Amino acid sequence: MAENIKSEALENKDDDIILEVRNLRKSFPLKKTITGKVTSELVAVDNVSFKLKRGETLGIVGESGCGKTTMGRTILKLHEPTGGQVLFNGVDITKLKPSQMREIRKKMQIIFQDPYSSLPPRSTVGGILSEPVQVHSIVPKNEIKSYVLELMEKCGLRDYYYERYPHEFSGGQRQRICIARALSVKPELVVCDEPVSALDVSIQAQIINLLKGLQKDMNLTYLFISHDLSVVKFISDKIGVMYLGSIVEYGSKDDIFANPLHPYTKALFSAIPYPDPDVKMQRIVLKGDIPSPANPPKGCRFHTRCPYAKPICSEQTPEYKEYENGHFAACHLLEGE
Amino acid sequence: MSKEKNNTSSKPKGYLTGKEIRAIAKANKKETKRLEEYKNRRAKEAEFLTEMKSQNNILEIDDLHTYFFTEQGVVKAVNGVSFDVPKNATVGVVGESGCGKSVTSMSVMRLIQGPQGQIYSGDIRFAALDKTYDIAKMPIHEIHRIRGKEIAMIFQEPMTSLNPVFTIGQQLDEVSFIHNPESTPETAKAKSMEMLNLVGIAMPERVYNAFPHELSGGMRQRVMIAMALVSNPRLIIADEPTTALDVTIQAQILDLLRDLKTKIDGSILLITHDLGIIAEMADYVVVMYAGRVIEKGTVEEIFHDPKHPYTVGLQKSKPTLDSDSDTLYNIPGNVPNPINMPDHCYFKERCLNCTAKCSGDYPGMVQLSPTHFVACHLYGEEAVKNG
Amino acid sequence: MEELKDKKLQNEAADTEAPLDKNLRLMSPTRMVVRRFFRSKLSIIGLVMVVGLFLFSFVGPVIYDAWGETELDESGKIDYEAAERTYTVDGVEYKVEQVRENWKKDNALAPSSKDHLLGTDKQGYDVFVRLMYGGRISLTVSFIAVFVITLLGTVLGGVAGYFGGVIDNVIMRICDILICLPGIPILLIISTVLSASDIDKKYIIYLLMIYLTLFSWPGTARLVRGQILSLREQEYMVAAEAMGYSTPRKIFKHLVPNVMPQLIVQMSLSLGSMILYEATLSYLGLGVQAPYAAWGTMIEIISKDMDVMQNYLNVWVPAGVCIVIAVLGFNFVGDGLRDALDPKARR
Repeated sequence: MAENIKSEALENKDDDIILEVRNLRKSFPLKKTITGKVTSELVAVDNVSFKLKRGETLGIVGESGCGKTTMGRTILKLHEPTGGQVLFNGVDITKLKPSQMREIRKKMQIIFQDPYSSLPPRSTVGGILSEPVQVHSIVPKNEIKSYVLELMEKCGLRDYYYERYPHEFSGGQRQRICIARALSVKPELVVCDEPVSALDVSIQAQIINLLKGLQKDMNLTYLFISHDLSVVKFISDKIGVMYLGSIVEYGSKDDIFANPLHPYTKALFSAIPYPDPDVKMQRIVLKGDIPSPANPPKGCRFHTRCPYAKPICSEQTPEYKEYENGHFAACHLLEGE
Repeated sequence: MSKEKNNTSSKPKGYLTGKEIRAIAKANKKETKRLEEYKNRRAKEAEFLTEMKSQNNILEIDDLHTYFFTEQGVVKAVNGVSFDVPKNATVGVVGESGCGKSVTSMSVMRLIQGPQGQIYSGDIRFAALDKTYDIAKMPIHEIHRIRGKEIAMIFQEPMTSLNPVFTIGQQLDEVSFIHNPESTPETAKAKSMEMLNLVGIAMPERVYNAFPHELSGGMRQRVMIAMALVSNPRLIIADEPTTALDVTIQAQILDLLRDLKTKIDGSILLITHDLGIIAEMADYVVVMYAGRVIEKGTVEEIFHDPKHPYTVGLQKSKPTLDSDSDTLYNIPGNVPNPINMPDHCYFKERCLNCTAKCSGDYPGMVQLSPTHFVACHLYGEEAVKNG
Repeated sequence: MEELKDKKLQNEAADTEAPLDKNLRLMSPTRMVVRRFFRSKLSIIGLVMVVGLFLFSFVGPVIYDAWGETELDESGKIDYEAAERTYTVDGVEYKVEQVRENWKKDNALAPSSKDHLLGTDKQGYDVFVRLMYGGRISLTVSFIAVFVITLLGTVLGGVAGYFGGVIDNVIMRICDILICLPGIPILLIISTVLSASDIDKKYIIYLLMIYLTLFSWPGTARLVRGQILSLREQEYMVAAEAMGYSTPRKIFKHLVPNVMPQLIVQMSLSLGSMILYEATLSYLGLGVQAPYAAWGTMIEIISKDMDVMQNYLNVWVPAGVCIVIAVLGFNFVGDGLRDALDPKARR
């Protein structure tokens, strides 16, 4: 309840939007001539735009190779964007110098999918957590340890883990350490890149609840990337569905789930196995495989697998526009209606 | 050294001392040597022939123990697992990582890597076409009678399960040559093509001549399934067959597996962590936790009337598309580390319905219906009263 | 409602404190490494060899100081010289055997005895003592060389791997060129030049080895570069980037410690090959020069004197054995360390 009031109050202010992405594009060169001219490229993120309000969660759903991870990292400027703008608190970070960027980094953090490779193997938990605090001088030097211990408690880690090495922990505990590390610098925006995909179901639930609780506690904004629709639905306020580098549908959680517009979104929904033997779902099974992002189909990128494809779909790229209030999609089928 | 000892008393987790490590290594060496010798022994056929308990079953796993003798202690990865796979049925084994579900399937295939990993005791009875074998007692060099021929396996990683230097056709044909001495190149190819058709590959001729890297993950998994089917197995073990795939591809593969069951005359042992897949695919469900079966029954019993607190928690903690609560139910705590398991119920520390009895011995299996079993103290007395 | 949720959250955090692992005790990371190292018999043998040689070379001369490195045994000895002559007188051949007794100042080529544990060589130096001093030279020189190689290789390989692009290209092409150059012929020329100059003969070997390091660092640089390229892709490095750490911090606090295991392995393996290099140089007469001792120099005699090669094994075989022990020892230790520190690289 309290949250709603707060977000309404914020709506009138300018700093309401914490992150705005405008026509973001990221491509990786595949072939170069000797002079360095790129002759063929892989467009991982193509013309993505969205706005994210402070304190909200935007869920990005898509299958492997759709560019959702690349997008998350490009927004944090871990990959240099090829085009477009990323406005963080109104500042275009794509134009910042590395030294300026370093300052702003503590405001935007990332949590990774693989809790095994995302922790340095030769540092203790205490070392991992206190290093960022020390580098960014979050608290005075003599308070670092107590600050870190407090943070560990918040993330459900016991104090004696402080001197332990990451390899001694299970996946769930490691993910808690990763979360604690990301939160140690008091960020405003956290990109969660499939934070629960590598975990067991019962641990997934713990981590999701932890993330939700921390969001409320620290007024965090999440960009939550996952391939698992049910998880995204649980944690998000807004949802973007990605296919081959671009967002094909975007809207509030309720809009997307109650009234999915894009055929791909519909297929994604129906593909999830339902844990009840009596429910036999009417399933839209998509034909074929995801095309390679290095060589995407012409026209609408989804037309090769779309069960409702029309001739126009293979010729023209559909326009990404608003069909309902705040509900965007890119599909030719919707234009006729 | 003394400092370390103090640590162990004040903090729950201390490190092993050198003396303990040496003791563990010594004990391990002795055990693994004995089991290796047993595994490599020459034996007459009569030694590993047996009888099925029920003629309806194709596979009976009876009190199977598979241990890993690691430097840090013995990991009882499978610790007394028993379940049956009936003929023409799909049995789903579900559990979290480290619960021993994969090790169980590997034990059936005798693919446990020695000398650390060993089948310690128990029986795996398998009804082949003419004889009934006890797989656990077979010497390792006799296993080719069954492995790949009567029991085939589909692995989780379609990316690494195919050899990158041979074409799909060569790898498929090879299976025919190995298991059917009468095959000629022509019959082998015909069989391979038939299987590629069966698994729904649109252009079998092209795939037949392709190398694995030319195919996508979904296609490779189809090829893996085709490969498993070449020798007309009576049992297919599918170990997380769709975990590495995207949801839309997963839907395709699940459809395929369901179709296949009606087309081939065999059973499927499906191993997965995804309850949704189990609900869709399986006839019988076995729920495993920390190396033990904690509940088993038909799919309706497990999903509509789960008894064990862990099964209940597992079902509640998975967010579904139509759930609308604000916090997700979660099972507290972590899966226990499988070294030095306690004597009492392994789920006790995470269980919200603990009774005094739970601190006692590990609960035995309680039968609730002809097919429904649960290992939990909450149901012990009830069953006694009723029975 | 807010309150209630907070409470719930706290409960959750408390619940996750898994009391389950109170039964669990693992190995400490150091112990794990030690254990893996000592699991292999070969690495124990290697360690014994290496430690033995060190004690022999560095502590040995202190304890056994009966003779110095360049101290001749001038106790003298009687040397018998036999000659056979044939005279032809009136068509009849006469064979005359002549034995001459020579008094020599130096007690050269003495058999092993109480005075000389392994006898003396052709000049009359004590073989056993020279073996110890030779070990000093060989080990010191190899250590200096390996240290310089590792330093150069790590810095240049690290820079190339971390920054990539043009810097990487330049450094790696220099590596390629250095690997293409014929090392030994250039070495021969340099050593001739050095011998002609008036540098103390004692130091020529050091200069040569430093020159050798200039040729050998590309191997280490490539290793470090490869490691850093793969480590840079690890998610914890991306996390360090996202934390906004400075570049030196990322390189020295996050990358280098993770390259250390491979470096240590590489170092112990290249110690063996450096000892071989040193021996080769000395054998060719380019390295340590008389009267100073080195294992290679001690073997050199057999290329000049067939008599010594056949009849006085005690003069040159021990030096050969020492070289074999040193090289084998370092390789065994290196392999053992690789298994212990870098278990993924095994097999």
